[in-house]
Amino acid sequence: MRTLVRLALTVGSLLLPQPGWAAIPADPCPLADEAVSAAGDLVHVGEQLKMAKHLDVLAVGSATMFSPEASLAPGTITSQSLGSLVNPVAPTIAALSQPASERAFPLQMAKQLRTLISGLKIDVTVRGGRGMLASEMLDLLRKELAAKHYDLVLWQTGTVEAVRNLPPGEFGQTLSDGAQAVLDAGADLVLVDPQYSRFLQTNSNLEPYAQALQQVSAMPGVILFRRFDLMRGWANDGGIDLERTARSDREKAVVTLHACLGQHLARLVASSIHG
Amino acid sequence: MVQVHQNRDLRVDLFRGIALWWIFVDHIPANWIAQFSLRNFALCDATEIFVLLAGYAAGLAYGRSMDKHGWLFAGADVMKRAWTLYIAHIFLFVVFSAQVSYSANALDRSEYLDEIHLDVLAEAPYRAMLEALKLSFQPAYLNILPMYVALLTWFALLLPLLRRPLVLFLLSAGVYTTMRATGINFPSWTGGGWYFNPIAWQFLFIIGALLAYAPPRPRVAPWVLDSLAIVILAVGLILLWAVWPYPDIEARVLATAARALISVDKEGLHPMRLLSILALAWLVSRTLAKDAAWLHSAWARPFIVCGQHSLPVFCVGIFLSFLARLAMEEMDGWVVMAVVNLLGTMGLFGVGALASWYKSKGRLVRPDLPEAHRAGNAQVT
Repeated sequence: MRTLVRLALTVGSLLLPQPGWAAIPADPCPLADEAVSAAGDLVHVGEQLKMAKHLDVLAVGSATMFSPEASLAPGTITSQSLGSLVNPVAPTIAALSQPASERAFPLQMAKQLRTLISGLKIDVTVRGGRGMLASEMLDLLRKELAAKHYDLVLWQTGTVEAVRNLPPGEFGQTLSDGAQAVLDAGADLVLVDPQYSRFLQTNSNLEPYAQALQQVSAMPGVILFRRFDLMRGWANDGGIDLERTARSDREKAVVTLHACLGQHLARLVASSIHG
Repeated sequence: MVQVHQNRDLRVDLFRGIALWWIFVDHIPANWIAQFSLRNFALCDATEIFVLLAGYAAGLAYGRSMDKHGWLFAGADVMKRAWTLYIAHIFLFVVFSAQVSYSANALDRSEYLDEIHLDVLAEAPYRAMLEALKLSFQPAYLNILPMYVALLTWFALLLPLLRRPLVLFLLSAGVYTTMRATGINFPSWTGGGWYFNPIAWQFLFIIGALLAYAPPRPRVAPWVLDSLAIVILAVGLILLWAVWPYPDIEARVLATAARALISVDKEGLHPMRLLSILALAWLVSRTLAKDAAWLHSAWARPFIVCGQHSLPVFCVGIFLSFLARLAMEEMDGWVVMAVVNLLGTMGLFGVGALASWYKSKGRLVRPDLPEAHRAGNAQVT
């Protein structure tokens, strides 16, 4: 009994003096060289930049493509229409009409590219929505590519498939169909993998989906932006870490995160043009 | 006092208890202690242990009951058990959904819902309720019990075949092979199939039941099986530690030979996972005697008690592992991690002890009572 009391006291005293949360660190996202170098794969973008200093970019993905805040959007429970017998697999079309925020990482990438390549004009169109599947994005992609010519496509996908444990083989096929459609339309493709999440790493089987992304990125004209690894590196090295950020700092942190991602993505694209 | 039911194979209870503890620690994201659980050393994990031993316990208890009272009697008991598990699953679904959605709102973390796949509950709540009852909507963490219900139902039907071990084995193997060849699975409302495909996993359960009811006599010398088991486990270890972490090696390995091993899926119980758990079980049964003294030690006891009351311990473990995650996100650091692991483990032991106490409710259990009166033994938890 006495040992039990002593144990309880020890445990209790351990609980008390917990250090508070660190604010956003001074260098939230140190540059990771291996993550931002590709071997001159974006041929179309390179040629386009030689002819004219103008890039048309199409970004397709889920909520994180639209604004940093969208990935934090509170009240998912209450804001949804209650009781509708909709197929949950259907995309949330509401997001489609909503313009993307300047602070979202695709637009942050554009901003950084403008500073990296002087005189560059760059337009970014963002399409997609929360909880969208790759197969739904593929339809969207085809529609957009048919309507207008783009030089570069960013395609962020894979999380929803992993959470729902959908067949990885079909996911890979969808990706490679999409990549082919992008290449046929005379554009290059940057695939963007899921955000780092300790939860998904522990409880979902991400590996087969990561492999599918990896495989498709081996096609010429396609590269992979390793968002998961980058964010894991930052989280492990004391940099930005959304899952371990206090509520009051989270909004600021997610804005910083998107700026960081935009910066790294811009460097990746730039490196793959120069070879 | 906490009762340990002595007249069963305590090794089975011990490893079920350990598996339950691993399920708890493995479910906590970025848990330091989880890197020492089985899945880091072998191509199988707590789920395989759990299903094999569930089959073993079922074969023992219901097989004996069938011998005495016939198929109808024993089969009805199996179905009653499946029903209990189903009710427990639905209760856990409600508790867990409430826990996650409350936390997501209170802590401003909508990603909890997305990650755990409860987002669809918000989008189509009425339909989600129906699909949950049909077991075709299974959020993360809540996919083991539905499989267990399906396995017991299947087992109730096949019960008489326990007396024809070879027929039962071949039938079960045939179903497994069909699944591996065609990929058929039970449907999931949100696409894909069940996270644990019962059409595949039934094979492991049936193997467990056969090992208990009709223990096969190996026709080869034990050392041959020993070496085979060691080779299987070594291959798993090499894949886990020396191949998968280095994608460059994967690319260089012979594509056709490697592909089968590289995609070792858990959903459909990949043959490598099946072989790994069987190899492990063989080696354990060879090295740990049924009457080993340390099975009665103070260290083994809490795990054994948990293993004997696996249903409440499992359910509480799911609840506690999400709670542990919340704690670790609110307060960083190894101290919090150590404390949540310790408290959670004590919580599991506590539930096991409480469930055990409820068997006797303070009365003395007389070991000389006839078999039929010992309710604890006919029941498989």
